Amino acid sequence: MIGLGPYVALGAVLFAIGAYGALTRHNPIAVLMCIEMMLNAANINFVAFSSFGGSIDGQIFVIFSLVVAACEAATGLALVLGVYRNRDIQEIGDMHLLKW
Amino acid sequence: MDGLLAVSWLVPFLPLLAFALLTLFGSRLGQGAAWLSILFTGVAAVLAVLLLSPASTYLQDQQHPYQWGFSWLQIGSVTVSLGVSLTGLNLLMLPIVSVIALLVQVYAVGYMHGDARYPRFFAYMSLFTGSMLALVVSPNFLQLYIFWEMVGLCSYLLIGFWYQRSQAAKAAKKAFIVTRIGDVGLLVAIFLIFAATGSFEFSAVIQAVQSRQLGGGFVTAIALLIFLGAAGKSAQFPLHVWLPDAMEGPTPVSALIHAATMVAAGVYLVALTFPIFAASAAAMQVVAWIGAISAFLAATIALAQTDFKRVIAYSTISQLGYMMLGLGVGSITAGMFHLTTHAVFKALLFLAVGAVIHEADTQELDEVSGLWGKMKITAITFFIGALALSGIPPFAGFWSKDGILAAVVSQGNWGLAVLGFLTVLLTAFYIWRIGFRLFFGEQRAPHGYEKVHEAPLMMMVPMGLLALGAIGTGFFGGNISRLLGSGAVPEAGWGVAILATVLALVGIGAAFLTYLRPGFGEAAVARLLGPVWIAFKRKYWIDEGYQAGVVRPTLALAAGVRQADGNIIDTAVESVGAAPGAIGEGVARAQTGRAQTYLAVGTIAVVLLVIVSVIGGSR
Repeated sequence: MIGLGPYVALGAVLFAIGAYGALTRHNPIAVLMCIEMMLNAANINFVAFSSFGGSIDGQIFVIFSLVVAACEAATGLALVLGVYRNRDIQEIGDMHLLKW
Repeated sequence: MDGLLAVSWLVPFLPLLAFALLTLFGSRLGQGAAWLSILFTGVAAVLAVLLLSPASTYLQDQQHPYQWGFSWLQIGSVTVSLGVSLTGLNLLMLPIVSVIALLVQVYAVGYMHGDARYPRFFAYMSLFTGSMLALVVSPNFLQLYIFWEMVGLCSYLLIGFWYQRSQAAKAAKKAFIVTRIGDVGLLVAIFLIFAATGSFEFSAVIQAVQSRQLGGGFVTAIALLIFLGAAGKSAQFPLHVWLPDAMEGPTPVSALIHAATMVAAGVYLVALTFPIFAASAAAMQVVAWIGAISAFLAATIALAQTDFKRVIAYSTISQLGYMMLGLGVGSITAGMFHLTTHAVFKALLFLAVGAVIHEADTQELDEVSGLWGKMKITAITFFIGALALSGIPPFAGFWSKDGILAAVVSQGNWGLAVLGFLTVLLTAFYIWRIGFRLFFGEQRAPHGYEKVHEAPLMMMVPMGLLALGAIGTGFFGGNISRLLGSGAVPEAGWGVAILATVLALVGIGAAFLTYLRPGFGEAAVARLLGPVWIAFKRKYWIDEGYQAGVVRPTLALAAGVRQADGNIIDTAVESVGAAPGAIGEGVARAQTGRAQTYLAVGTIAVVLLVIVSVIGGSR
């Protein structure tokens, strides 16, 4: 039987990879994917703690979290497409119009 | 007849109601506005005259005046009431104000005919009449002060009635500001009185003065402050400068406000608070001397003016000076008697020259003369007024002016007496100078002599009635002294009467020789008097003195303060405003618009927080 530690470690590693990708990738779609990765790291933690803690709550939260992630991905992709079509911007570093 | 007393409040209320109606519906009434105003003022005048007998009977029977009022304000333990108090003095003022207001309004129907703001004019006239009547029935200082300011406001509005002319607008402003200087004195006096006695009621204040509760110096200060207010309103030297300029207003206004009623309010105020003055010999001296000096100075200035309406304005200052002189030497009766006769004959003189101005469309003596052939009735009424003013028996001015002169002589102050008698001579000269130059000599008028004719009937009727008054009011001295209960009109005695009459006749004769005998004229008089004549003509440079000594320094100070405000205070305030903006400009650079930068900062911050809390928690 595997203990709680490896699950939590997997979540941490997944989150760190996601965060690193979100901060460094130039492609907006890759950044979106990295954000999904971070969300899923959190989901793994939810399920792990739920399973070891004896409460079903965490697993139900994961369902909600997945729905939110799906919505976020849909809007995020639509935004990326919109920006690309209207402004011909592919690099996330060039998306810096929202400032003072 | 007590029923009449109970509705005495209607006398001031009706004209005020007319003002309210005219303000609301005046523009729809058009020419009818005048008749509404005349109707209400007329009822008030009839009521004022009818009140005389029952109110004076009441006064005699009860030994105190009829009072009516309601509580208006409750401040702590003090109740301020508005109402009506029918003392002898008030009863005398009511018919004077209301009857002359009525006659002048009838006259104004003709004079103001065709003016674009005709209803407005009558609304202001009604407001003035109501305020003046409310002023003279005041039972306390507070009501007096409220309406004192109201009549000042009406004066301002009516002087500036033709505000399109910059001269009129300036004159209105000048009148308002100069009288305000006096009003401040009155207001401070009222504060002092309240502080000392805790009451605004005249009866309480006068009782406090007579029972010597207040110190001598304090009473003198109050009396002088009240007199400052009175001098501002009654255009006494050195606050007289506004009244001649006020002649920019329509002539009915000059007749009603700046001759017969409002300017007499100062004299009324001194008579009303006379016990306060009587308690201070110094204050009485000031009143007498200011009156005598005003009478004399204004008469000399009147000699040399070429604007004939202004001559009559200076004459008003001079006559008000006589009234103050009369009060200053201790005779309320003489002062108030002269106020009564003066109100009638000066209103008459104004209405008569108003008719000339209406027809000839000028106020300059040099532009119009020889009108006798065209305006006989106007000329006759003018000469009746002139006889009354110069004090020829049996016209009204003779009786009242001699009363004042007799009071001065009996007091034995020869300086005052000399000024008083000299002014009689000058008065006769300047008013007959106007008369002779206007109605005799070469026949001319600025828009053609042939176009001039008598004024309309609506203007002639009030002139005729006032002319009768100018002949008749002199015989009512006994009634007035009984009503006032302040002693008889001082007996003139043959010496004073003959001297005054001879001086007046000499003045008339001199005017006749100067202006009607060919080969002699004003130029010769000017040569004879040299620089003195120039001083008269330039009004002793008093206006220039005020301009240099008061107006320009005040404006310079204001300009300096404005500069300081703009340069120092505004700069400081604007810097305080600009500082956050500049800081914001700098900090705004941190907002790059790059989402990854924000995320990086956020992540690093969270990591740091976690580290800090872990380290902190482990301690």
